[in-house]
Amino acid sequence: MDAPRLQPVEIVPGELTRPRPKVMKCYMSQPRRRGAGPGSSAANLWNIIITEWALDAYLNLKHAQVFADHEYWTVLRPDVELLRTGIPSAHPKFANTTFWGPAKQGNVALTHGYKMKWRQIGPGRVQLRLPVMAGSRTAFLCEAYVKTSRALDQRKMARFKTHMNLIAQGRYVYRGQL
Amino acid sequence: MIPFKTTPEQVLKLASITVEMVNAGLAHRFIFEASELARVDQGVYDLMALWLVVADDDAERDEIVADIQESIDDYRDAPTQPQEKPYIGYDKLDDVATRVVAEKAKLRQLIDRHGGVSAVAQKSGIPQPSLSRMLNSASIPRRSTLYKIANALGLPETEIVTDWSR
Repeated sequence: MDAPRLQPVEIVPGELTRPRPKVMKCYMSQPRRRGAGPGSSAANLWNIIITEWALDAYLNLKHAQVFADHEYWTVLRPDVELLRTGIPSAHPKFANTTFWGPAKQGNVALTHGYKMKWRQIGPGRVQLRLPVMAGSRTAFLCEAYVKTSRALDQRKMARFKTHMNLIAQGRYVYRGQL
Repeated sequence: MIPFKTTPEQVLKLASITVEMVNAGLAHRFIFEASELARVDQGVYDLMALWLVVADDDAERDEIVADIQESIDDYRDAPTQPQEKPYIGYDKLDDVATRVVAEKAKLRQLIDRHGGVSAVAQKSGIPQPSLSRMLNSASIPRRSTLYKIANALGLPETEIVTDWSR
């Protein structure tokens, strides 16, 4: 699996939280896919990074049998792979606010933060959420969770803010790419 | 570092939250680390504010304490630059989770022999909700957490740190 080439990228600070007066360096992955030469269509694809937070969440969800294998292969993974075409993907599903939307804390949208949403997943027919941070042509998968209450959703969004901060600083562990 | 800078009002609110946390019996070390981080990380600030709001819900407060500790651990254990660890394919997740859970079952036996979760949480300085969450989940445990437990119980590293720790 190719490791993403990491280069410092200038971003306007505060994009992740609130307007900020300074400029800071942010380590975001640059796209580099096997066989993707200049001008090829693959060169336009985004990387999908599996952070260690995402892996840990998958372990818990899988162990708790939140979703079935066939749902992973036929629903969840294909949906996430649509992120290769960018954020937001041009796929019609991304126009559906019950499937895709900005991550919010209360009524405040988190810049660069998004959520993929699935309903009626697994034997428990649960609502599954996957926070995704949009970097420089890179989608960072973060901590997926089952939404059981508004209180839990607020806690997960607070954790997502911390994860986005650490990603923006380049201080994250990843487990390869999807 | 994203320069989240607390406003004077937020600093005052943090002070009142820390007083409440002391009154609630949370460990001083935890409160100190949380309040320090909350000054620069909006996610931790939000969690502390949520903790204050749910005063009548002990279970929710426990969950928030565990979340705050996760954030403290995230910062403490974060690499200085992106670090790649081995990819684990979907077909291996069950196997990994089973191994992790089995190791945690052994760890729980050790903990039970040393007075149980509450006693070990107090000895190790790990908030009890965090220790309980770690033991009850299939997530890969942090080495730093395992070291705290080993130190608290006077155990050698070989007895407590497994292949499945990060």
